[in-house]
Amino acid sequence: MNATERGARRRPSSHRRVRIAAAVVAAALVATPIVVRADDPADAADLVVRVGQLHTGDGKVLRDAVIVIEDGRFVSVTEGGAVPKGSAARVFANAVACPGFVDAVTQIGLDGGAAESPEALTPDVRAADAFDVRHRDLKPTVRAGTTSIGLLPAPVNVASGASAAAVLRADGSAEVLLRRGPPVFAFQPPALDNARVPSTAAGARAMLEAAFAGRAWTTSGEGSIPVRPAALEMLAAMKRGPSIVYADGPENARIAVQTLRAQGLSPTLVGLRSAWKDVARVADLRVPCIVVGLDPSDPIGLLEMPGKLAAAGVDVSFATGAPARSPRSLRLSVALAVANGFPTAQAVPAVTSRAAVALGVGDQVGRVAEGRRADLLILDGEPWELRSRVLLSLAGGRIVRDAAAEAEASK
Amino acid sequence: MFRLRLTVALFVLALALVGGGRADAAEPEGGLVALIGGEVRIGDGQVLSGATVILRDGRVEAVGKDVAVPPGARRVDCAGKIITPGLIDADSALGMSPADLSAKVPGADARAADAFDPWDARLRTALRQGVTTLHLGANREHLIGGVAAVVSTGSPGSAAIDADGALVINVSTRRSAAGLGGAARVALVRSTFISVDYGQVQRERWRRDLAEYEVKRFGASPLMEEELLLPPELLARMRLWTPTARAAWRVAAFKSMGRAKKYTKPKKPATPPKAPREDPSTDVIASTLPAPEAVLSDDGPKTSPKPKGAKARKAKPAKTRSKAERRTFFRAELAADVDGALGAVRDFRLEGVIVGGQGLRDRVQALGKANVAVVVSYVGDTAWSHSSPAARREEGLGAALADAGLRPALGTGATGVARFLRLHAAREVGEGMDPQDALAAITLWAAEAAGVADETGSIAVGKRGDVVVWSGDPLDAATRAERVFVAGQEVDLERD
Repeated sequence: MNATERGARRRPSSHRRVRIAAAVVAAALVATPIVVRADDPADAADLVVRVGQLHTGDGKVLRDAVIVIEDGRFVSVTEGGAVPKGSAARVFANAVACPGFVDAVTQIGLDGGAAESPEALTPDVRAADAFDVRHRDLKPTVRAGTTSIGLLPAPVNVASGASAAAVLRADGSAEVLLRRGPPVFAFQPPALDNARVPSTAAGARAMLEAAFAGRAWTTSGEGSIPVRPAALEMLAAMKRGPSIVYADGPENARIAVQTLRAQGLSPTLVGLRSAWKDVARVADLRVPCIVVGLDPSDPIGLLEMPGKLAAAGVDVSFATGAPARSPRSLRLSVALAVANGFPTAQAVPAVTSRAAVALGVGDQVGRVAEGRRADLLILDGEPWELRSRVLLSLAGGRIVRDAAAEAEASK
Repeated sequence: MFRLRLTVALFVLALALVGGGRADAAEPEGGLVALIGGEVRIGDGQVLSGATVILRDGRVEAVGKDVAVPPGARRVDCAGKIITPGLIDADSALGMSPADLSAKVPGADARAADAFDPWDARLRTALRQGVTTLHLGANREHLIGGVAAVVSTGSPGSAAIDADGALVINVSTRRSAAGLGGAARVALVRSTFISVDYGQVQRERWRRDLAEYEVKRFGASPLMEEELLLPPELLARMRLWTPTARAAWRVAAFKSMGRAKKYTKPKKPATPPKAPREDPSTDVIASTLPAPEAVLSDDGPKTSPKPKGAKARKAKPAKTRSKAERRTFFRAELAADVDGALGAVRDFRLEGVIVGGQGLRDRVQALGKANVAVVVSYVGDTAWSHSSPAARREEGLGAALADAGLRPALGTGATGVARFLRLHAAREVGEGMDPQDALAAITLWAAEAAGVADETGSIAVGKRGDVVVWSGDPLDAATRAERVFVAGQEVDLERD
């Protein structure tokens, strides 16, 4: 073998090396988009589930429901157990399914603060702007069965700002679904305070009514701050639609509801932790209520309030108020209410469809129905019973928890 | 004459009939109740369907499928119902004022029973949810928290089931009222036990010295005054007599018993040994330690063979030494606190109960190997803090501890109000605990942790008649407690 031959041989081998490197780069280029897309719910695995009993979220119960999920959405939901031809269903014969929970009142991921004071009218503050879509509290939240959350600005001003709704993903991240949700108002301290203007619910009413008419309402008193034209414009433009109102007691709730109804804004009441002594007056207002953060150590009267409101025909839903309370405590809230007289027939709507409607996303989440986001919980018992174990949970069609797979993995 | 006799006989018969009728109608004194046809969950995992429970004079008289209903018993039809023992909160502060829970300088002899208000209105809400018994853990701030108590929620007149319970020691790092960190607290616990233990040995030595002195001073005999079974008041009084009077009394006493020959005369006077300082607080701590003779004679803890298999459980902590009079209730939050408590239990041979939350999670295996009872106590049901994650409720702890072969009890903790104990148990089931275990964790296992398993915690013959009749499974939120019996008496649940 001479030098020329050796050189001739060497040349193709260096070519080969280049070719391999190019192939590696090409493979990496091809592989990368797949990894990226794996995060996208649109590419979620298709799934057919058959379940013994399905709470659709709006109060209906289907027997032997077959749920077809494609591209992260429910494609069809049928009763009677007929699985579409050519597809293999995962069967949960004795199980109970319901939509993923909607926790309507939270401040999860708003560590930066979603509030501005000392102005009384800050309708232009958006909770969504402060939201961290990769916050560490999102993972425990989605693992506890909550797949959508309401993000509310802190109720520190009479017009606190705009709420937002976010959906959670199986990997513990979130995506804002509605950036400018229903406006949030506060008729309770610290929005009302002797050192501020307004200091009473009547003052808040006068101020809001003036603002709705495009006029600034100011006093010459101490603590009075001129109203920004941008805030006035925004309030004057609010004509119809849902709104959310924090009120502590029945009296402030009444004034708030009258004020907002006059403007065509249909309010949902939040808070009401000191309203339990006079539940009848809250019920008389005929507005939906969200009861936030029930705890076993709360007064029995407060724990009985949801049941009494429901008996009076009020639409009640539950929320955790996380992170002030644990984002995992939504099922506990429902169980406490059920143990104190809340009807079980309303337990699922109270943490799904009703909460979604209050947040203005009732057409996208909160129900197991064709076209909705595939947020699904399958348990071995009724969802309002704490003893029921999660068998399978999906967020946007992706598996969050799978008891069968977990049991297999631990073997 | 015959007619008179007939009249008398009829009259007597009539009286008997009327009397008999009355006995049937009236509630017998002390109560005799038959709960018939329910599904009885005894509390130890056994389930008897269609069984009968007889409560008489405050106690369970009989339980089983073929139990005859005694005449005169009030019959309660329990078909379709579930009957369980009254629920027991293994770590409660209900009915105790916050001041008592964090009082500045409690001694070890400060008793939770004395700080308990049996008329607290919240006790009734607990009772309505089937919680009949609370284990009160005394002070929660100070290292030495005092004496725990076991109380009944349903009998304000006689609430205490055990007023002189465990010694509570708070080793939790987060509690900083005493200005001590976790390591310093553990060190202080150890030095406290060491000094008390040493004091015990000193006291034992003093007792021997005193006996020797007595012999020298008053003369010896195979029989001492104590052995004559004299009443303690007389013995106490005799200690005040002059030596001459006592010596004379001994001679007379032994002579009268015909034992004068065995009597030896007193020798020269000696000074009595100095008694160690008396301190009720030290006495309480001392009572958690095994007797000093045992310490001197015993040559170390023996290990008993463990039952094999994940589900095999210890029936009760095995007795490897002479039993201490009192158990020690360690409140430990972090894993390091648990280790500190386990170390003290091992070194001082205590009857330990470890009470904790998140810190237990990392020490499940160590707890499984140690000879201790465990209580999972909820520091906060809905608490969610990033600065102190230990304040968060730990998920699936009941299942993890039970899988390690322990018999965990559940408690509602300092801020809990006991009433939804059954929902806590339900939540443990949702997180993987066996439903029978979860019920045991708020009945029999809770009674074991509180040291009152001989008295309550299961529907067993001879135990207190603390029984609840439920509309369904007590672990279901939608279930109601329909009837609650406390010490055999039905409680009026409607009354405020």
